[in-house]
Order: sequence, then structure tokens, then C-alpha cells
Amino acid sequence: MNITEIRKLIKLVQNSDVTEIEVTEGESSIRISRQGSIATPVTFAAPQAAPAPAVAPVQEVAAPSTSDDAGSEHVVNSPMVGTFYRSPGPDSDPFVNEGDKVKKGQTLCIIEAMKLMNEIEAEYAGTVTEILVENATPLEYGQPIFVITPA
Amino acid sequence: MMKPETRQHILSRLSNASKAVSGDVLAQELGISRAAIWKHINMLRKQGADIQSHAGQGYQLCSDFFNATTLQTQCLEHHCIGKDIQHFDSLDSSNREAMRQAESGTKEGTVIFTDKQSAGRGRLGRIWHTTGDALAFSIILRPPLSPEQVPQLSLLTAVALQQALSQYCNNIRIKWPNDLLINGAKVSGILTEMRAEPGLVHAVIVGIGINIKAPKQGWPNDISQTVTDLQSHHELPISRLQCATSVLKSMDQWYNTYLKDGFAPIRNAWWQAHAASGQQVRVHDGKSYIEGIAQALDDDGALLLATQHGTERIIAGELELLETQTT
Repeated sequence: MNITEIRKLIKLVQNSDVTEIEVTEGESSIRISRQGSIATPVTFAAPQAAPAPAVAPVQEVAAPSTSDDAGSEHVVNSPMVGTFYRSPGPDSDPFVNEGDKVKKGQTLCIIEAMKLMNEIEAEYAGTVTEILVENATPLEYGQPIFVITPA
Repeated sequence: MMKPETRQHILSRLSNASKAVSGDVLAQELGISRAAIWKHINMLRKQGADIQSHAGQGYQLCSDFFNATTLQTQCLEHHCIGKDIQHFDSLDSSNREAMRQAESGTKEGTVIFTDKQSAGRGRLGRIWHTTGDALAFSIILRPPLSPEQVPQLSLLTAVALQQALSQYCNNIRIKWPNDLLINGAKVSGILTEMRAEPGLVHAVIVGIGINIKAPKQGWPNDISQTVTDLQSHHELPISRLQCATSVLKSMDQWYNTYLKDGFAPIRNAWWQAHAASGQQVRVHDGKSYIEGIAQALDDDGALLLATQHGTERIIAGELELLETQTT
């Protein structure tokens, strides 16, 4: 099982109600679970409350690095419900346009909900191949926003 | 012995007192001589505190003296917010400084104050002016929440501020999501920023600006909305230090309540303090206008509007209260 496949599994767990998944393939086996995260003995009113998913220590998963993703496309998903803004203000230029090269850590967009501004940064250096959402429109949780082809 | 803690105690006492405090009382409280008190007072004067002596009455702190150490001593009992306080003469913006520090690991609950901002910001790139008689500060938080819950902190801050500032004016209302208004004019603004990835919050910065006194030269003329200041609605002089102390205390209490009991208590308090509950409003979402009656606050802090086409959930936008026929 390679890192890309593992990452897909993590995404799958993150974007679903599944709390744990175990996959065996030949001799290797991996278990991904949300249970191992920081215990929060708190019940929140919000129905979508989900603790941060954690990876069980069955197989060590390295932090994503650019080299692993060479050639494959990377999709930036929205971490929350909100309004999508391509620029820092109505009269300013967009943070990025299709075809732009971005550096790791560069701001891609802002998502706003209840005047909480969430600046989304590029996790990888690469080229913005596609912007999937129109400026000032609503975003759902986990909705794909950008397609970035890693450098 | 000239201990700095002794000096801080004297300063706190004078800041919180409405009239002069006698040297005898201070000496007794601290178990030192009146002469030692006098030495400490002189030291404080050298540091910039405007302390006057009134014969037969004692010492009085005349103009406002803002000092991070004094403020921090007032926050010792807090759960989280205000345990560490930094004070700058000037910054680009307190939110930016707080974000830089959060990214390099500064601990949760740290509060960063600045007297001036060269790039103070509001929503969507708007300018926030910080004049000499204002408070501008940012709080670093790392809540154990998922990113979807964090917008609730935006409303929590409005509730905490509304309650803390009500000591100066009993007519402060919230305008969704978190502007604070006195008779429709803005007295305080909040800008919350987050760094997160799906499922994981890295840091939340709560930026707060409060207009304590109107600038001597008048409000800058590029301000697009009606503004006001606390002092215009309060008789006695307002101390920035005392105001900051109350706000941090209230923030700390509400944050603790939220982590223990969730959003429900905040939602109730917010709805009661909201200027437009049950009233006709108009929201500009950056593209179009939506009109309706503010019906309720949703679980995540979204405003529920009853419109001609049914209930609409508002998650971002500029809210306007439409004129009502009440007199």
C-alpha cells in the first residue's frame, strides 16, 4: 500500500461518518481511526461535531510531502461551511488564478462563516489547474475548491 | 526592599479605586512603611504613571496608565485567557502579530495589545482605525474543536464583550454576527481568523477593537458607517486598563463555559442581546440582498431568516436593520 492510497483512506474517513476502517492487503494492514484523537469529554450542540481523525499506529504514515505527489493531482477541500472569497477584499486582485504557480504556504482563498475568516494555504508547491467554485458563493464541508498539480 | 510586585499592587489598587487611596492604607496592606510607599509611587511616576498626591486623602491615578504587567496580575485567577499579556507601542496589526506568534508556538490564552496599528483590518480588507484612546488586542486560542465549530467563537466574543461593556452603557446591542452597537452606531468590532485543515484547527485569533474615546481630531472620514465611543455614553472617565480587565475576564469565563457546556448558553445570551431578534432585516451577501425576519440563531451561529421563499440560513454577509414603525 503506498502513501497515496493511505491518504485516500484518511480522506474517506474524514469525509464520512465512519469512525474506523481497517484494510488488509497481502501482508500489510492499516487501521485508520478517529478514536485515538485527544479526548474531549465535551458534548457540543453542533451536530457536525467530529474530533480530529488520528491515524492508528499500525503503520507509520509520513506527513505528506511534495515528492510523493509528483504527477498526481491534489484537490483542496473546504474544512468548513462558509462563503468562498478569491480575493482579500472586493476591490483587490484574486489570490490566485488558473494557471498560476503557487508555493507551499501561499494563500489560495478565504472562507468566511460568522465573520470568522479562514485563509486556506497551499499544502504543496504546484500549479493551480482548476478553480471549482465561483467567488462569493457558499461552500459545503469537504467541497473541492481547487485542483493543484504538484510541481 | 523595592520589589516590583509591590509596585504592581499599588498600581492595581490605584487603577481600581474611584477616589484617592491613603498612604497609610497602602502601607498597612503591604506591610511596609509609608516612606517605602512614597518611594514606590515616585518610581511609578518615573515609569509614566500620572499619580497625584492629595493632602490628607492620599494618592490618585489621574490619567489612564496601561500596563501589561498590571493587567496580567488581574488575570492570575483566569482559566486560560490573559495568563500571558504582551503590550506593543505599535504593530502592523495585532491579529497578524498574534498569527505569527501562534504559528511559532506561543501558548493558548496569550493576549497581544497594541496602542497603534499601521494596518488594522476589518472584514474583507476594510481598514480598522486604532486611535490613541482605543483598545486593540488579539487573543491566541487553540480550541479542541473541529473547524466547523470555530465560527461559534465569533458569537461567543460578541456576548462576552456585550456583557463586559454594559457597565459603561446599558444600551449595547449585538448586530449579527458580532458587531457591537449603541443606538445603531458601532462601538466595537471583532475579526476572528483561523488556520485549519479539514478536521484539525491549528490556531484561532480573536481580534477585538473597542472605541473608548472619540479621537480629538474627530473620526477619520473614510469610515463608511456610523461610529461611537464608550466615553460618550458614560459619565466617569473610562480607564483602558480597567476596560481591558473586564473584557478579558468576561472572555475567559465565557470560553470556559463554552468548553464545558457547549454553545447553548452562548446562543441564548446572544439572542437576547441581538438588536434585530424578531425584526425585519436585510443582508448583503456580496452579490445580492436577502430580506426577511430574523427568526433564530442556528446551532452553528448562522442566522435564520424567514423570507418569502422560506427559511434562509445566513452564514456570511452584511446585516442591516430595516426601519421599524415603533416609536
